[in-house]
Amino acid sequence: MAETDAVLVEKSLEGDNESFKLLFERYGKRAYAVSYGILQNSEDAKDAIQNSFIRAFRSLHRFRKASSFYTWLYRIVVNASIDLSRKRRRTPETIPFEEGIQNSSTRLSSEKGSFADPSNICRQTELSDTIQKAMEGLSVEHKAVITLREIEGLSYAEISQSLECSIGTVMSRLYYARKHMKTYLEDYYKS
Amino acid sequence: MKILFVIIISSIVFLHTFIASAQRSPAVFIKVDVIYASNERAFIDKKISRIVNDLKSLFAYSNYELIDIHSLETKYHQTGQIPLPNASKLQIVPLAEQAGYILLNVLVNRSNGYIMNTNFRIINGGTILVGGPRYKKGVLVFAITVETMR
Amino acid sequence: MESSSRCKYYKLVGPFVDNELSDSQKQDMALHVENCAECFNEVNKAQQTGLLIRENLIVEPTNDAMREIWENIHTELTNSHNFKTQQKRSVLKHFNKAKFWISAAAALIVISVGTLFYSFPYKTGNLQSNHCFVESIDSASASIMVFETPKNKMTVFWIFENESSS
Repeated sequence: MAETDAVLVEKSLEGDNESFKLLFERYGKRAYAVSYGILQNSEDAKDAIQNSFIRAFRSLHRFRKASSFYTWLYRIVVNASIDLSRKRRRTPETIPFEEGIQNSSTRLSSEKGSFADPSNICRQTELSDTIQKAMEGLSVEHKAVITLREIEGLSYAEISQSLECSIGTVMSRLYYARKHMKTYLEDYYKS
Repeated sequence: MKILFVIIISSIVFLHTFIASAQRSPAVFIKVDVIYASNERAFIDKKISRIVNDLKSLFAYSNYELIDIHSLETKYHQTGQIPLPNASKLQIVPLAEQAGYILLNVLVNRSNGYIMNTNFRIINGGTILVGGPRYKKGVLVFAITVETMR
Repeated sequence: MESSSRCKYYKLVGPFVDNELSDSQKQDMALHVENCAECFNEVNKAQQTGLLIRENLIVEPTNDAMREIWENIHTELTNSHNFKTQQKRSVLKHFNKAKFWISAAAALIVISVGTLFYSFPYKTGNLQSNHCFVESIDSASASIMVFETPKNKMTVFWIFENESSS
């Protein structure tokens, strides 16, 4: 049976790096998705989660076992991503050619028959670009809240713990982030 | 002595947190659509058609492109700053809220000084337009929407 | 602009879609959505927004990339002896750190208590418009005119820049 997060944290605190590796394997990809949602850049997301896990390990003794490990970890990931985003403040990422192709083919293959119809491919690419552009127009705080909700499916209470803000703030940020996204996606909604 | 100091500070922190939570300043959300208006071609971006319909009744431009959207969250007396494409800056400071209206200070800065500094009250959720700064072969127009939620 | 004509339930659309309402609120909202075209439309759009984001923004790193990240983490933690010293953290060090934060908090409190009750010296005037009332306006290097659009009564500040200012 898989060990719980609390047990792995306890073992990591005793210096067992294999336990910490298991925590990384359990949450690394999800942490990457959160970081990518905020930074919109794969290299930056890698840097951010690398820093986050190092920070997390160094402050494991501060982790209160009453709260869940992943909300605590997400707090570190979100803060590291926000810090990096403020440091870089750069305009749209340029992704490596191969990665771009891989990403778009992954997206397209999930839609049945879309390869057969070039107009579908165009529309799909256009939609991805639109969503990317819409996300870029959001502040990092709004990106964080919409990523944690829509991609990670966290509850308002979990988001408020991860972002260290009130549930009211989570609600209002989500409201405005969705409103912002809506202005971009108006053409893509199905009635 | 040290313990006493810590207890006093903790009590102040507790009291402060209690009072602050009761009077916490609400977040003010600002959205700025940056529009490029010119006569280079006849094009109207669908996303801003409502604003453009209004603008067209006052100004004779044929091309309206939405070139950027900025969303930011600020608080009363906290400056929100937006970089503009013509190397200027837009500074927006929500100053107060009263009876559903938000008092705002808006400053349009060029490198050699400000070209507009205004205070006005706007209905919560309302939009105003600031236009005129030169850009490329036309002008920039900013649609500033301000909203707060209680 | 839009706030005045909104359905009073609009603030519940997000929590409804996110399943964050209590059972009674949920029932109430579900009943309302069935009868209110505006909210029905908003619920539909909020659900689709989430779906479009999930379909287009989830990027999963490859296993190789994850392995590389872990190796970097492991190297960093091993080089800085974190794995060995994790359990031997000095309590005193934390106390010193805590003392620093307490002093910083105290300074912050002194400043913020002073500003807590500060209110903007703002007096109500007579509102001239439904949307915007200009209090003051000036410019260092341009002429400004204020218009109101005929249709939606939107206030427009138009800056006529001098040659030297652009």
